[in-house]
Amino acid sequence: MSDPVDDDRFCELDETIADVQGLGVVPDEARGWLADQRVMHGLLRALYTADAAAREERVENILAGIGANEARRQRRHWFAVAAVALVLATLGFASVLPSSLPTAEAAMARAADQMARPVDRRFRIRVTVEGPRVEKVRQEFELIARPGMRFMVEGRLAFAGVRLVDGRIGCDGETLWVAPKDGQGRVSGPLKERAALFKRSRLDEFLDIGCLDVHALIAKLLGGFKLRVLERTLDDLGNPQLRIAATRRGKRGPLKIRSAELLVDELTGLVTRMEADVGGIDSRRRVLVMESLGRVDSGSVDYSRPW
Amino acid sequence: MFEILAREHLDSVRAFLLSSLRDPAAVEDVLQETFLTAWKILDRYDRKLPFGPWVRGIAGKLVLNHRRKQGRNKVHYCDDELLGRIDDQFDRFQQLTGDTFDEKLDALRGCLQSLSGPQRDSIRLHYEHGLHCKEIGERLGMGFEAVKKHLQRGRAKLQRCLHSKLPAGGAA
Repeated sequence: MSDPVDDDRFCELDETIADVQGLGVVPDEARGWLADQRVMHGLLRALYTADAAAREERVENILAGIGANEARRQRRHWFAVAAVALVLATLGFASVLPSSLPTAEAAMARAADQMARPVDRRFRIRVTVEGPRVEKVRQEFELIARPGMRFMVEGRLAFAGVRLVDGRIGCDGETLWVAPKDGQGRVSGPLKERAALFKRSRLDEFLDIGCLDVHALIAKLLGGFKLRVLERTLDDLGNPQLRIAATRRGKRGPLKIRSAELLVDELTGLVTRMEADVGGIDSRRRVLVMESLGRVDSGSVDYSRPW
Repeated sequence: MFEILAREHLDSVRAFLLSSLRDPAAVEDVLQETFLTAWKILDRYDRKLPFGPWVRGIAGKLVLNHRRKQGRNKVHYCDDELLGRIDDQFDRFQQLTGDTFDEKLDALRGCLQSLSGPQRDSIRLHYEHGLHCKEIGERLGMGFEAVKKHLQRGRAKLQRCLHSKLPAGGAA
């Protein structure tokens, strides 16, 4: 926004009020004032006519318009694609044909881009272990994270895999710290020594799952996993969500996650929920559920060691 | 990918058009035409640059065409330079906190609280209820010119308020 001046000199040039007729000439010195008025006029009209259903209809109209234009081109295009596919299949190269919808890749690429923005976001994380009869909660906490390994975990943490205590884990991008609420086992050290530090606190599971670096986790899903759109659904507010399945390409990958199902908000491009099958412990299956709780006000989180 | 981009930028392009076109139906037509044109010439879009300014550039050209065809009474005054100024401000608006256009509008919702009573009432009656200055004047017991001033000064105050909410780097 430019710095506006409370200036009544040009008020007769304001056409946004419907009673005033159209203008002929605008003097140079009035242009800044006029632009300010017009921008606010547009934003106020947008504010008071916001409607999720109408918005969805606009998107559908645009896509329908594209579809009509595309139809003839598509017929020619698919004829060519079919011919190439036939040749590839004949040559035994069927496996090189893409098996996932391109929109899944695009949605995840956008999610990775959005997650990489320098913004603090809050997530709820729950890790459970599924035994033959019973499901046991191993970790349950809230995570605030910002790209660049700045994060803060607060909740019930399973130290040594068994001792569930309230505690906090944080990192400011350089120093990693662990602070159980009861004061026992408080440690800190350089981020690059995180493996040793977590092992000392017997918190290896956090690194093992990779959920502390949510931003990198989403980016890794894009590279190392087969992605497929399962369906488009609407959330409670009527916003479209893509449900995407991710399956690890090989037996070993950059993460312990074997497969995952994600919900991606099409408006924001952000992953709002992820449920992942994580490599098991003692043949029991671990399930990670991550839910996005939205943004945190900029500057309100201090990731530095609290002592 | 185009659908994702269209969903992301639809609301901001619509607000841009609402700043120049009087008729809501014309806004919807030009909005659709903007995205269809963008799709047709997508190969000219440099993917290293943000999509928003590029698609608003298309919308601006279509507004100028529309004004030429329809006459100036249906389209507010615009030329390349004025549209450029408006476009710059929409760029800065994008720097406000929020992932979606609607979340960014929260800043504007907050700023409405900073207006004086008559300014807020005039803006609400004009934009929410679609009343003209004369009708607003009758409701609020004031003259046409007074309502007009409240609308204009209210918008200027809202603009200053939004300006103050921009991150330091975005203030120009």
